[in-house]
Amino acid sequence: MVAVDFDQLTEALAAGTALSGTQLRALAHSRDLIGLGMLAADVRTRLHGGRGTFVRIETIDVTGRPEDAAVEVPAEAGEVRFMGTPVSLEAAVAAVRAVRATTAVPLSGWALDALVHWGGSLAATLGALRAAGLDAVATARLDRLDLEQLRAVADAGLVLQTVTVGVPSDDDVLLDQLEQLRAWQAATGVVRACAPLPVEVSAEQPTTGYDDMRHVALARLVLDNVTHVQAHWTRMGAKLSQSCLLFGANDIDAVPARDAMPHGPRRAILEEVRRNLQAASLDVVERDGAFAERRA
Amino acid sequence: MTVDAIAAKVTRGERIDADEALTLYREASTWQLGRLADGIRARRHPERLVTYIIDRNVNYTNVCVARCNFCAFYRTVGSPDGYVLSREELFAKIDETISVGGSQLLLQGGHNPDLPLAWYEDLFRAVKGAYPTFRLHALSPPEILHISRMSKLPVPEVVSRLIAAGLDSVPGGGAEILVDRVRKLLNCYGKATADEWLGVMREVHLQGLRTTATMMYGSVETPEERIEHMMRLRALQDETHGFTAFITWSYQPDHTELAGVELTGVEYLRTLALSRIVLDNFDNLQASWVTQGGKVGQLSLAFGANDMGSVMIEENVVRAAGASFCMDEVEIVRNIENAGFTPMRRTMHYDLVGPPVFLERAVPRRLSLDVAKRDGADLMPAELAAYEARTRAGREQRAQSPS
Repeated sequence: MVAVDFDQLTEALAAGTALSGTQLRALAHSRDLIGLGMLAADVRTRLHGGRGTFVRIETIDVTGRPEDAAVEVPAEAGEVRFMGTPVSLEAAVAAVRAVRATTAVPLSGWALDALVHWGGSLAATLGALRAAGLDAVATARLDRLDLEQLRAVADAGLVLQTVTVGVPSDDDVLLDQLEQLRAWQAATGVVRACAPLPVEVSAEQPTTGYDDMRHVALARLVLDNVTHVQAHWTRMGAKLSQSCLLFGANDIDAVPARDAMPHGPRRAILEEVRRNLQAASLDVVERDGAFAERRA
Repeated sequence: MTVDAIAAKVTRGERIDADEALTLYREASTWQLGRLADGIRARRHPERLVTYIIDRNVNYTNVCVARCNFCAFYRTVGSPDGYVLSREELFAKIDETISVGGSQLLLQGGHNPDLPLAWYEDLFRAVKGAYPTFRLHALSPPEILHISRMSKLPVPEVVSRLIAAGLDSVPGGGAEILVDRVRKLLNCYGKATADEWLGVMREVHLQGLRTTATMMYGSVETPEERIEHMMRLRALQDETHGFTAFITWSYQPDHTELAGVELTGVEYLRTLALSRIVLDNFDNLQASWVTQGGKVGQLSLAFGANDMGSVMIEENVVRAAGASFCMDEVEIVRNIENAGFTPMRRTMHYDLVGPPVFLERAVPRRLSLDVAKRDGADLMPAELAAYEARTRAGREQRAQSPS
């Protein structure tokens, strides 16, 4: 067990002092999950006050999508997010252009490591998508990310919506990755948010609640130059998303813009998101893909 | 009194009253509640053990006349989906339970008017005859009350006859919220009033058995009523010291008449933590991973819980209402160790049994929960013909069964 002086760390953070690598590793190895969570929640409050944000997204899969496919972005969507593998860069560009022509909401798309493999240079790909109207690259995995990719995003005039963690890792490896991300962000400033839970998990041996929450809290403490720490509604579900809010996250990403409400309006996804934010003692704010508040 | 003053009182190990508990629930942050609850857990269990039991949650019948509007499990008398487990099925479940290291059935069911007291006595004797050391943690207070009413025998006599037949301990089911206003709204006042539930528990304790206590929150009750529930349990525990543990879970609304929404994970952690603070005479608090999932279930260990409940093998009631989380022994132990505790198997009485079974011998992984009745099984066993049915539907079913 590692003894940590939480009062001292609280004071240091309140004074705007970044925690050292030694302090962060001591926190990661402490048994005091509540102490860690309280530190992260304090940082979240200093950055965002009592606001807990969420965004509703419309997802468009370009895989096999006809060029003349109808575009209908629901009014509920605060962001349109492209995914899938287009037949060509030109097809992706055409899809972005077609959607851009119908809506003013921010457009994001694809994973950065996938764009690298579309052929041609990453800079050319990003430039073409930006010219077509894309506002942001949707996501990048920390284990597949490098500084050059982030510079290419910046050079294209884009931002990176979310950096995720690829596969589960132990605390020290995660801290190394987060510290690397902090350094890259200092050099580029393009990362808007970090969703610090792994996107690939084993069904037989899922990550634990303690590991997940420790990683959310550590991300909040390390990434003092990344504004938002996120949960992902579709991937995590209500309980895990809300737990992330308790441990330092301030935003819920990827709430579906479309909801057939099979269980009635009280159990609509939107209501469930609001309930979970409120029960986490946060003021509910719906945002768009540029993190601007949406007004009813 | 302010939150800080109440927190100081809790930290000094002093008892808080209902008003103070309400102030904490309403005004303390989730972190404050967690800190206080975790501190109490650490004082009560400084050895950093987290326990669990391997047992099987068997529902011997789903036929029920209580008609609680929060329940998605029950079937009415005469329903084509109504079932009663046969002894053969029950013995097979016991065999499976023993094979994975289990030593107990948590046996509960609907209020089936066609099962007389003798059916329960014969069943318990048959189990004890075939499995002498196997434990029967069976029949919640409303079931005992139902048997008492159907047999026109007083509760003390029913309890003593069940103990004589092999009853080892009584689960704390059917408590819901021990406030009659709530019980009337949930349509469970008829099955047992708050006083009746507590009265059965008092009698069971007086006759020497230990029991658990539960609370289902998040349906129609107010925070004040949740706290009243805890206060009533605390008072009975002061009197009898018969409760081994407290388990709280959130109302699961799917497929129920009452419907509504489930309260969130944070509300579960707050309620759990408050329980640890208020129930200062309960040694053990279980995490309800069955309703909250493994992750919030594990987080419960930081909010006052010291026990991961049961490696369930089978569960029917909560699943009928929408929750279907599963953790086998490997997963429960992994979660306990990952949270920095030492896992230890226990009995219902919280006597320590030993380290995980799978460390001693190979045990097959179980990644899903079994159900009460296998597909194609007879819903009403022929052996019921030996007992007189009370209802017309029951008599007709038995007349049609092959003898």
